[in-house]
Amino acid sequence: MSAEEEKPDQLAEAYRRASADEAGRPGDAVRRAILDEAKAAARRRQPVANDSRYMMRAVAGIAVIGVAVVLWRQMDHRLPGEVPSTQAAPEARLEIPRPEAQPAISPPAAKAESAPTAPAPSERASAAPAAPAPERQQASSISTAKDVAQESRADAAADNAAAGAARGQLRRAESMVAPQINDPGTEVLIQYFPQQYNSDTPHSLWLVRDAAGRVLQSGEIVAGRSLEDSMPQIQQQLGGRKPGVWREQILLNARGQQIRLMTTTLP
Amino acid sequence: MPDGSLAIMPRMDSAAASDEALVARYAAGDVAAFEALYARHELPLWRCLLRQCRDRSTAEELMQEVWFAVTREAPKFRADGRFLPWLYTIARNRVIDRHRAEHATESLDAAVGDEEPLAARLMDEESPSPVLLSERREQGQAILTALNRLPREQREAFVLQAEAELSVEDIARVTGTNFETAKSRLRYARDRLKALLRDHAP
Repeated sequence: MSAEEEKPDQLAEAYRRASADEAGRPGDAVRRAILDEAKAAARRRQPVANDSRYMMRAVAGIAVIGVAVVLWRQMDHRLPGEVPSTQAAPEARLEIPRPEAQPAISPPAAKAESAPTAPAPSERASAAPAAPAPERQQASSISTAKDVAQESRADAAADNAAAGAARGQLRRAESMVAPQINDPGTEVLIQYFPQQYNSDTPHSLWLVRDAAGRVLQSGEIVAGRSLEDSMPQIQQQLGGRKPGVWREQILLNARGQQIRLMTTTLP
Repeated sequence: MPDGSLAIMPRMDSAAASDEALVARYAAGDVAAFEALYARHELPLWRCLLRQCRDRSTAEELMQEVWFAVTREAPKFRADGRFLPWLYTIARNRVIDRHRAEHATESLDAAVGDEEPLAARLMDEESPSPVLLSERREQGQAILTALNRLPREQREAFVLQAEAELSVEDIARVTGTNFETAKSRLRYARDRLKALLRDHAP
């Protein structure tokens, strides 16, 4: 092929000029029809939202995510030998009823109110046969004790102390985890303060019930302020009614953070 | 863009994108890519079709058919393929189909190897000869008229090169011939056109 044949020459140029002058363009209707068809064809190729395949994929995806969340929540995220956060301040869980305190919320009443829509962590753990957390905790504590014993064979006294400490840890953990689960205060936290229950920081909360035990109002006391400081706002939310005697509970939330729960009943 | 909701691929500069990239984007739903592709090839294809069928309304119908085929076939366009030969192959098939429908008994190969001097043929035609057209200084019209008198295959090869700027190799691919045949057709077409215009220039 010669270069002359490969390259456009004057003839081709002259032809192009003549052709451009003479041919013009296709009609607007043609152009419109083509572009409309292009859009329609592209639209036909789009996946349909209610296509059963996509619905099945969506449902399957949601199911997988749900299973993953459940598994993740059941996992023990503590390192081997790590002291459970609930043990950090065992005394903090104790209720400190004031002399004039109202009786604690009765479990049946609380359950009647709660009507939980999703299984709460405490409910899962409350099933006696399940109770995986204490078992894992026990296993990890024993493991830690064994490690300590192996590393300090030369020092029998230290070995005994470590094993004794591990056993003590186990006993404390067993004694703490179980009662916390059925604690009415924790149930109140889960039901009325879910955010604070899963929070990584301590909180001071208040809750007011009526004489029948129904919760009327609840809220949080701003950090750094006392209940007395917040009383005007609380009374305002109660429509000016003055609450009764406050009862204080110190609880631990799901993250081991201290929760101060002030409850009272409207006369 | 008229319909942005269909665009699901990342936006790119359509002017800088290759034909092949635009086809791929359109196949994925980007209508703007098709619009860019159409704007880029509208006129060359239109002129090719017009030169092949010589009738404006028929060319418009063919134009529509070709681009409709592009919209349908875009998802099947191979990523390693080249768009221009593909487009002009579709166009040629449409032209042939149309020609067959209109001239059922005429062989498409009848003009191949026709070595009769074009000037002589043109002089026998009732339409204005290139000589007259040249005398009227309508060289452009003379070229087009001369082109219309070329055998179909030669005209096709010339137009594919002049309008679509296809290489000889691509012309061979589009027309379903080998390289040598395409080259010969091009040479005959150019020689005849040149000779005619030179011999009959005022």
